[in-house]
Amino acid sequence: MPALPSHAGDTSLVLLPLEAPDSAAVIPFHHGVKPPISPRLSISWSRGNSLRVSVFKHSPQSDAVTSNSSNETDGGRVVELKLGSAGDGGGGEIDDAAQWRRIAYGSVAPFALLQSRKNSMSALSRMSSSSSYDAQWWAYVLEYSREINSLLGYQRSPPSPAIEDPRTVLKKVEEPTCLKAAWELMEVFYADKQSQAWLPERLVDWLADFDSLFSGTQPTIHSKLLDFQEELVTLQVFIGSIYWFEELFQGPLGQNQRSLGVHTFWDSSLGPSDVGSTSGGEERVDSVDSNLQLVVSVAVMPLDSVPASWKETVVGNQLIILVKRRANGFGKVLGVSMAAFEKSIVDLLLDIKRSSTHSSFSRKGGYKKAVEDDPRYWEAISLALAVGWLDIAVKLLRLHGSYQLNQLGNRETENGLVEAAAVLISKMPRMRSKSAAGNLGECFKSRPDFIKALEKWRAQITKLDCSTFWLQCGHHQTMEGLKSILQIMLGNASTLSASTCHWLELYIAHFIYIRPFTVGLESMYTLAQKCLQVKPVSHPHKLMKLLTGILGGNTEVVLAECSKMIAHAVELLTAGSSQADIVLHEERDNLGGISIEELHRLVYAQFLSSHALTWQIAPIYLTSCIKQGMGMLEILLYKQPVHHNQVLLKNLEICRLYELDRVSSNIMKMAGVHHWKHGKKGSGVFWLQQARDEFRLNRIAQHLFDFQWEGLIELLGSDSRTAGGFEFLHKYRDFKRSLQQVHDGTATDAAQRAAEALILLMKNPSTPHRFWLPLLYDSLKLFNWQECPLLNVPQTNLLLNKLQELSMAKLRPDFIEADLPLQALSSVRLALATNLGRAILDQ
Amino acid sequence: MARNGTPHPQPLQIHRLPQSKYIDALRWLPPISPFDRHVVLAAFNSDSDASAVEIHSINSKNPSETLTHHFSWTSPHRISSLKVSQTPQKPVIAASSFSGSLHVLFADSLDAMIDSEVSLPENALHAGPISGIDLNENGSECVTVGMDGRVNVVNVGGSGVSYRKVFDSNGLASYTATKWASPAEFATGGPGFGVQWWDQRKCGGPAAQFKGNWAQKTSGIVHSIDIHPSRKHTCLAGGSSGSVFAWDLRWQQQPIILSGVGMGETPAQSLSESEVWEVQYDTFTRAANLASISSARVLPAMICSEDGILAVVEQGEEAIELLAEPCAINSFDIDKQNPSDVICCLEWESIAVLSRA
Repeated sequence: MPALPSHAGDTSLVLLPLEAPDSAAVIPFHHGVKPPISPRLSISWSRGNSLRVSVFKHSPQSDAVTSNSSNETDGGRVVELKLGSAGDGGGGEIDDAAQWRRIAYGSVAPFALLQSRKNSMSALSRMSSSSSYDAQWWAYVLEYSREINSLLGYQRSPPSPAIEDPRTVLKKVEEPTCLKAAWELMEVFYADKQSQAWLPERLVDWLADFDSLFSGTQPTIHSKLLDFQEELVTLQVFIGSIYWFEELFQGPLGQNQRSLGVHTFWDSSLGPSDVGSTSGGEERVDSVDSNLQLVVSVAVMPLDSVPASWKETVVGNQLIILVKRRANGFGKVLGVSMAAFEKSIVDLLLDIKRSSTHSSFSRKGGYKKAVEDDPRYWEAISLALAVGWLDIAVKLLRLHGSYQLNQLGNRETENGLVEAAAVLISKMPRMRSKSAAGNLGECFKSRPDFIKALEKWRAQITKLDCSTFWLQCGHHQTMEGLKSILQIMLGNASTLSASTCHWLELYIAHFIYIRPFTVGLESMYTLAQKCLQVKPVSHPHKLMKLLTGILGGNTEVVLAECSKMIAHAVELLTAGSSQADIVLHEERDNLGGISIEELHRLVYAQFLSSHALTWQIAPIYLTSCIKQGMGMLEILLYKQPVHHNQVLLKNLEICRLYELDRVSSNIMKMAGVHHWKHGKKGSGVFWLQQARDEFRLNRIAQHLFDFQWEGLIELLGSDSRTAGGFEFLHKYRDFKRSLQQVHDGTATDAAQRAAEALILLMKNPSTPHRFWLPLLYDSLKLFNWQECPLLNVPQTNLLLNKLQELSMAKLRPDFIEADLPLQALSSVRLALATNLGRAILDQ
Repeated sequence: MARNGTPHPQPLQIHRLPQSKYIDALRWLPPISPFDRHVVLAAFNSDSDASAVEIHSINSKNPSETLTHHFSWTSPHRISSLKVSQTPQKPVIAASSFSGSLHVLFADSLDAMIDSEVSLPENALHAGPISGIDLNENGSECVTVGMDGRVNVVNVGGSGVSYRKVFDSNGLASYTATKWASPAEFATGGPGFGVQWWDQRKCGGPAAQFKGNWAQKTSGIVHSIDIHPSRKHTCLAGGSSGSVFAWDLRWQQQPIILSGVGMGETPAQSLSESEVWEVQYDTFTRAANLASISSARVLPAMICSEDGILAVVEQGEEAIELLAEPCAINSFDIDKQNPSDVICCLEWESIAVLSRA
């Protein structure tokens, strides 16, 4: 990606993607560097999606950029540019960076626990191989899988309504995500060994949860049912409208009058408590537009919750209906265009006139448009049944018009058939341990029981199919619809194919009705291929690719579809498939000698490292990588900025946890040097002391001697551990103090202490040569002490030797002449000689 | 990890509230009424690089129903330290930044909104980040300390804002934490487990100082200091290697070690082995018999640590662990009016609300 510094404003950078030169993105940024600006521009990747651009000031004198604490901006400025957003959107994809981080945080503990369990298990299994370990291990893997799984969905499930709306067919529990769907699929096949016996049923449940994810690319049963649910609401809305028209029909409209009276509306499904009373429960609308013969309608709704403006919106050629839905408590405003409304009304009026068998109207009951007349109703039942959503199928069947109390008499046989079908559906035998909450069907754990029940059930269906009651069924659509339902239950392949939208749904339908005993990946794979032939897809959804990858035993394909959870998914794969275990653990030369498992962990760790809030969890993954992990961990730790105290301490904490003492010491040295260079001398020395960096401390001590060392020593405290040059400084301070006391008075005690301090100093190898003469010169008074010689013979000899050494050192080129009077050396020598004489006499 | 604390024996309700942004610090706002409680958060949104001081109302009956965002003040820089004055009629919120600026926000106690704000820009008070601040009781003075070795007292009362430099070590010493002891005195802490006592009436340096040379194996940094209003002579300090100690001005040479590794001759119990980020006297534990605790004994204290511990430590007693999280606990605050309630912010972008029964 070539970057050109723009000449116009000097403040923007133009990024030109090579493959698409037309779509250049201009990202303006402010760098604050005063011109002239160097034509040199340094660009590098920073964390995540950020570019780090370094802008230098053009200085002809020197190219070197001096970093100085006071004028940091003089040499140039480093700017971080964020490029776009990380998320790619799309149906069911997690594009929220915060959500990703939440998953990353939450998966740390399960991953770490599984690794430690894996290590202890492998240690145990080496001693004895027992199948009880296997069972224990599977329990651990499943626990891990469930914990990761719980992180992948969105947690915001709406509060479930206290009273269920009869029109709500599909329950919305939680927003499904592709990631969760993929993980559950992996869990079914690799982690959950217990459910292997009823694998087909697990897939039925899986599709029930995630069919909506496929809706983005193709029609699905879920999307069709959702459409029909909307339809149901509309159908119910017309009930009230018709009641009103009935009045018109018999009254003013028949006389071709345009003025309309007051009309009340109710929805029969709301029940008697909401209707009938006129106190506040009804909205009366008197306004009528005489030109448009239209109107208005009305709501069963508390007056105070009707929007103030809604009366106005009613007028016009729109029919506005406000419906209060008891289940969730809010009203819905439906707008129906006049043209559409008129057409439906005309149809319905004709219907009313023609027959009163299937529709009745009364002042209280209203008119119910028979749902069973709608072919989509029967389609919806078939669709739901085909993929085993039994509760939805039964619920829909019970909306059948023949259940209406006032119709039971006329449609007894018809109702009997509908109910028989509903009962058969709810009694369907299923081979699974237990049914999910609210699901219908009878569960059987053992295969013989299941086969027996299935045969019995099928016999009952066949019996119903051949019954003579069908002849007495007066409603054609009902008969057709029910017959088709029975065909589905009997496993008629063509009916199943017609009642499913894509191959995965057909696949599930096959498991339920045709081949409930399919076991083994191979036969499952063959069946999938068959279904794919019946309902081919041009662009298969990634979940479909994942499923075929799992069924086909294609480890690479499976991993490719796991996206960011790949490092965690590898755990399931290696646990669940011995073939995948070999593939993933094999060390590969083309990957630099590491295995695929390690590669994915490293990649995941890199992803975590790229963000300021997640880098600190990357070490968990890096330390689980045998070959490259520790090396990358060191790089990661060294890369963290040392000037930010919190980051520095976090860094050192990670070193402590993983016992990286060498890295820790290096980081402390880096921090020390950084603080020292930026004027924070105290912090600099603190970190160098923590790192036990004697070399640098010595250098600093020598440097400090000429400056503010006294203050520094005061502030640092008399730390006994301080090494090297600082030790000298401490001793020098003690010596100076006692010498000060000597100058103030004539106490021999103080002088004696000063002399001892001097000897300690001169004996110490860390005392720099250049301080020897000044020290001795300062001590002249001690050597010439009147009362008694303060130094004994060996001590005086030691000092004389030092003096001798000093004269030799003078010849070396790096010798620094102390800033002392010329006669200093000779007067010290003389004083020492005098002292020596007195000391010998004293002995 | 060594966990020596016992789990909390009393009934303890914990609600964890994910935030999708990093919380650097958090404080209770003095309540207007018992039913209307607010917390102040120093939030950092890593996606937009934006920082803010946010006021959220908290449902005391059902804290699991998340925090309700109430008011937000956008901060130009990421916040390094956050303090709130305990003045119910006019709470003052002070926030210092990593860039060195100081922002003082005046909240309205009736609606818990921020009325006005005064700021001191970067480089006015400190060169580099401000590492610690503290507001005095009535919120009129704020002491600021930094790694640059400066100690400032900022006057925010009345009209405008003014400050004076109490001390400048020119980088020879660094300070990381501070706490007022009286209107004239305050304490600071820094590297080398150093604690300094300052008296504004005496200029030219600390009035007393304590150097942590009792730590034989390792030294560390003091991250937080607390001083109890009834025991102004004792500084409670928490810092590196899980150390929590009290420094009594009356016995300056020897600190009382409440927790920490490898200190002194008798190894004290160690709750945590990493950084103790915050210490506060726990006004809830034994609040009733406070008077009966001998003045030589250190009052119970709550700590939070880098290795995810929130605990109450008491001299000579086994520590009580309230939380043991898999990530760091950066900051916590005990509700002064209702000390059974504690909020803390976790490294993994969430908040925990605890209520002790």
